[in-house]
Amino acid sequence: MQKIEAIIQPGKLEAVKTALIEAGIDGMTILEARGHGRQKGHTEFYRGREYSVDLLPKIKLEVVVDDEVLDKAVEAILTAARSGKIGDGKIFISRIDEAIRIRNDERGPRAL
Amino acid sequence: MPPSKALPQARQTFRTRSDAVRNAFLSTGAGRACVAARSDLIDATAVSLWQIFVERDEYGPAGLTLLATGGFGRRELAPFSDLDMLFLAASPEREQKYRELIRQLTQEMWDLGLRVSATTRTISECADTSVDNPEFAISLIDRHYVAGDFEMFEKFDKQLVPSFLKKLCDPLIQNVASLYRTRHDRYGNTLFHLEPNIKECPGGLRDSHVSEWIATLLDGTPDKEKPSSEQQAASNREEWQVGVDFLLGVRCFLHYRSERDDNVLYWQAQDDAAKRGVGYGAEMPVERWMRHYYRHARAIEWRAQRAMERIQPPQPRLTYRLRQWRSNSPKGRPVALHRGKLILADASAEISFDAAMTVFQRMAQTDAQLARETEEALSGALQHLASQLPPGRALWNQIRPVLQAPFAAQALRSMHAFGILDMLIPEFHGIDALVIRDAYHRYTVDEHTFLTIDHLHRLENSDAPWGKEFANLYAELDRPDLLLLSLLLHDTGKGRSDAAHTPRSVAMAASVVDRFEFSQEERDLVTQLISIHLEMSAALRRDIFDAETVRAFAAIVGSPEMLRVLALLTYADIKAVHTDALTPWKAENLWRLYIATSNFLDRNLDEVRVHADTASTRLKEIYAASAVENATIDRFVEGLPERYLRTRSASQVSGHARLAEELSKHPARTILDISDDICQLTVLAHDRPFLFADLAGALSAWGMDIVTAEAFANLQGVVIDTFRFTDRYGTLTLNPEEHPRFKQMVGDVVSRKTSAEALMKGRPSNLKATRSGVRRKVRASLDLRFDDTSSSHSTLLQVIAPDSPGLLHLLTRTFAEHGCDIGVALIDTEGDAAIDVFYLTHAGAKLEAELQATLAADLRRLLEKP
Repeated sequence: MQKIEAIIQPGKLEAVKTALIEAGIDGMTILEARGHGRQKGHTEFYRGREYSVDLLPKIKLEVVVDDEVLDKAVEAILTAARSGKIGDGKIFISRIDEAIRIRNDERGPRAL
Repeated sequence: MPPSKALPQARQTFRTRSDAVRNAFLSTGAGRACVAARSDLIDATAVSLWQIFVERDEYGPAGLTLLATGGFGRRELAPFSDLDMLFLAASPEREQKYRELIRQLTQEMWDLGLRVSATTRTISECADTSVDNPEFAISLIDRHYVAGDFEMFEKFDKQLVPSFLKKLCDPLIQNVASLYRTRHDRYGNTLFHLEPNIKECPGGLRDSHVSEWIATLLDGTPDKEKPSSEQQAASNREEWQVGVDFLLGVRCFLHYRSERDDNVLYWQAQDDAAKRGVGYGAEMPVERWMRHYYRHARAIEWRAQRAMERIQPPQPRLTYRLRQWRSNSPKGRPVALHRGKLILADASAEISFDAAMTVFQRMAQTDAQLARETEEALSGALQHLASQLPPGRALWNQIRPVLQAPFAAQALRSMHAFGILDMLIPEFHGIDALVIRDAYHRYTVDEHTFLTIDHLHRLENSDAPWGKEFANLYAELDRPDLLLLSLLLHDTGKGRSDAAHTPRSVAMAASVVDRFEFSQEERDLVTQLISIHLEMSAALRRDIFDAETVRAFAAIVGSPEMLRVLALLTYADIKAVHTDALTPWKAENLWRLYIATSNFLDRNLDEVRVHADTASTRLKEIYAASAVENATIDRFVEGLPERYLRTRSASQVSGHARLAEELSKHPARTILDISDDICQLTVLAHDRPFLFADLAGALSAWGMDIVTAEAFANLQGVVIDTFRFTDRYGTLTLNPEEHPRFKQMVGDVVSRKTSAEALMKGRPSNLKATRSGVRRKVRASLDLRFDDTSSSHSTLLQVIAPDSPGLLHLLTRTFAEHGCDIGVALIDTEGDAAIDVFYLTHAGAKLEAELQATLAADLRRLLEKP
């Protein structure tokens, strides 16, 4: 099993969710996040006050998938989240040793 | 019978009877009968096991008895509820002797699948424990005998428990009250949850226990057992009893459905309950069934609230209170506030419409509760009140004070509960207790609506992230009442439409404001705001730092005024979805989208200009609503910023177009609107150097504090300068005969017959107030910011300066002295700070850097001098 952590633009969330569901992945965790990579913040003035945006709003999406569907899931995220501009986000992938469904103690990929 | 035979038989009997109770409920749906039968079954089972494990004689042994407490003690045992049992021993020795047998008995009950919560206490321990453990004492309020020493039970039941409940009455009452408040807080103090917990939510079964506990503690008898002398009280009690019976049925249904102690009415459970007609015996649409649920819950919560009010310090009798009120109140006042309760001057007479509205206006101002007599006067008075409903604007004038007062939501809820809100605004009826299922909302549509209004009123004291920013925005609104009315109506379409609700909400809002005889501007603001009320939430789902997102959103909003009310509506709307819906992340994004769009609207104003030949939708609306020829309108609007069209009604535009035609015969045409709050002067004239400065100076010379102003010019060089000002000395508001002289003065200033400078010199020296009339200890510091990038034609200059009399005249005269033309001026005030944006050109082009530096230096010299 693999965990995919994708940092994406908030505006791409619906498209990514739809793409993942179409790819057969319907379980995911969504977190509101802030951050920046190469896309830096900027400053806006309003009524004489300065509002600096150092960390930009992002969505962090976490999905744990069976090894077999990893490529399909990553492709779905890439396609749906890409605009070609700086700030589109990142995808991180890591191994998961075990998954357990709390309700019935199912384990492994069946628990996903 | 030996235990080896008796035990399997007891088990079999329990299972058989348990199935019978279940089947009886499934066939009849009678909750009250089910919980009583279930309680009887557990009684019988406990007696059988008592005879097997403890003593063959069910009334023995001496010095040991078994009591049912809590829900079991009330004989309201739901199928999978915990069983509270108390083994009461006369002495520690008796407890020691039977400890193992009691353990075996309770073990057997667990093995039967019963969730037993058993306690063993000596009599003296019960009294001691009750002091430190109020929950235990409260559980003893509801008790009945099960098995064992009956005489000991009688003594405990009739003497000891009443005695220590009386002794501990105050701490127990406080504990009940504290648990009640904590529980209600946990559920947002509303019963209108989309998926309610029917035991714990406000209006749930726990509330029915609270009213009975308080009655028992204060009077020694549960409320339901007392005789009722008043018809209204009897009716309320009957409603409460029916509500409790309904909830007991729902609870049994939920337990059997999920085979566990599950008390949450999830959506699927609601569907199933409505299909089975739980509590009614006939299938019904789920929306209708849920409305029944809320109606019953409301009756239960109402009674619990009345019981909680009894915990307050005792109040004098009504006759004394009235005498006291009459001696303290002005003659003829229909309502008075006394010790937190609103009382009527004459509760015996039929309540008048004005008195009823005064009650709710006072409630909205003070958060006071209604006295019981006031509630009784309002109940059943609907038909009588409806016959006195004032027409049109007078009706709005009664509703507006309720909406604008700080506790508006509480008053509106009360009006809704009495049917008065629906009587005033029948469009609201469709969303009464309406459940709309989605993944986000937690409350019914009507409760969500009240919460939106509440969140706006709480902004002032908000410590939520970004709350202060939105609070400042709210304080800037000229007409918060229109925003509050928009919130009240924004979801009314949900009750009438399966598809997108917004168009239905707009249609219903239009019908409401037409009945209230709103002006075209007021009508436009309410209906347009509702029509775009989801747009800012939608924009938040895009990249809010993308210029194109901001541009597209700004095009929808159209004007800063609309942006302000939309941002506040969106803030309140999201926050009212559920307690965690407006996360700091979302609040910050909302604020950033607001300022990005606000800046875009201010800085790109002269980029988007009207071209009559393209005949935009807005222009077509103006043609349709206007008696002036299209060609006249075309000539007038050509080259004006689009914002002018967005912020004026069709009748205003056509009126201005007509006046502009008259400029061939007159140097200026003016429109003067006088009101107690804000006055407005609109001047149409051919542009000339110093014109805006002269007008600002003339107003200042007359003692007017300019709050906001706008200056627009069309392709023909006709300017439309609008000044909104306060008339601190009442020169115009108190003296209508001064209006012609004032307008004549404006015309003379435009035609230069009178010099603004001369008027300024003659100004009284005591005119020291700021634009807003407010003086503060902390003064805004001067900030000049030039921007050459936002407009392709002009240089933008934003001036933030401490507000002072004549400031606008000083600024604009300085521009003119440097040869600068004002294309657009946006003048605003925030506290003691003047916040002005000017679109400046010099010889038709942007300002050169050298000119910007000279202008800035001159402005600093003038504005920073002591």
